[in-house]
Amino acid sequence: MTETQPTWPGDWLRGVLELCVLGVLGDGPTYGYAIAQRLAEAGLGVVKGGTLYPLLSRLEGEDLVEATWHAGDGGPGRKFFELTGKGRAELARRDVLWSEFVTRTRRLLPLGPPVDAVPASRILEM
Amino acid sequence: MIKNLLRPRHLLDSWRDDFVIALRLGNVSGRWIGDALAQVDAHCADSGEEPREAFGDPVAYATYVVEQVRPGDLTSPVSPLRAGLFGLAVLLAVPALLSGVAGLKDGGPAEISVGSLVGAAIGTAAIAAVVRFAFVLQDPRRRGLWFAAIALVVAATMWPPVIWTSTAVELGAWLCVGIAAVLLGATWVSLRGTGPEPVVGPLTGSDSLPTPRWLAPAVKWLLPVTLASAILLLLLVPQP
Repeated sequence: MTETQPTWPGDWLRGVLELCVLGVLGDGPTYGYAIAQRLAEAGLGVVKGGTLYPLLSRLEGEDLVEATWHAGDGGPGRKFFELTGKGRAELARRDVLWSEFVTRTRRLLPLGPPVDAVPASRILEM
Repeated sequence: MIKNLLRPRHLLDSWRDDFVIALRLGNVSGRWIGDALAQVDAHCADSGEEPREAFGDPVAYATYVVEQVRPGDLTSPVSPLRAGLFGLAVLLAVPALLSGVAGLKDGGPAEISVGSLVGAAIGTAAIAAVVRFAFVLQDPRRRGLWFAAIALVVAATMWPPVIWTSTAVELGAWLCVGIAAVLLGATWVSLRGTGPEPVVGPLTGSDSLPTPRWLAPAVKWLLPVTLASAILLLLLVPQP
């Protein structure tokens, strides 16, 4: 089944992009274009290189991600990005926070809160 | 030419040049520039996009890249004052050397003209201004204007010695040659090993934007060869 692709307000994507990239990297090391593809497949739309790579550099600068170059087969090499220990902890922290943020936002909206809200006790641990 | 043919097609456009110039002006190290360029290369090869399509305007993208550069990957900017001082040393040394040689040939003192001093002053201010306003080069539309301004300044520096020939300073010929040698020698030693860092590819570790092999020696030896030729002419051609 093909999901319809809503047009997300630009500032929503800007706000959540970093968390989504951390989420993609949570599945294992990968390179920039593959991250952009994963984001597109998830229905977040096309993330251009001009947006993605500065964000990855920022995550690298914050020691959440480390990068290594790998030679390509007949083509240019690829820079692979991988979560550091600090990055994994940050992903876990933001994952829970984001869930709670969605829950609280949902309470204000006509469709009501999602059923799988994060327990308040986990938020307090953050 | 052959090197260009071996490069990926999408990196042969002006986007790459504009991107590298903007990063250079942002004082980004050659290693970091090489990394950023390789990233553009890899992304475009994977996506099939042109750099402009994937990364937008090269100067705007360079600005984002510069913001992420760690302090250790920034190079020291060239200060207009330092550039002006080097310019002043050379612009004073050249007329001093030529006047000194002329004095030695004629058996008289070295005479430095008012025009030479005015030219040196204009040239010094111009070199400092060129360095101070180098950021203008970021805008490809204004690059031609900037080079035109440099040509105008070179003309303005060379014109005063032609029109104001009256003597401003008179020194012993050997003293003048000595002063010129000290100024030129100090400049040569101070500038040795300086220049833009090579853009190093992250995988190859070699210069990914190699300049023609003749360029560096040509730049290095341009002034000494020109000066030597001028001295030779001065010595060989009989003065009226």
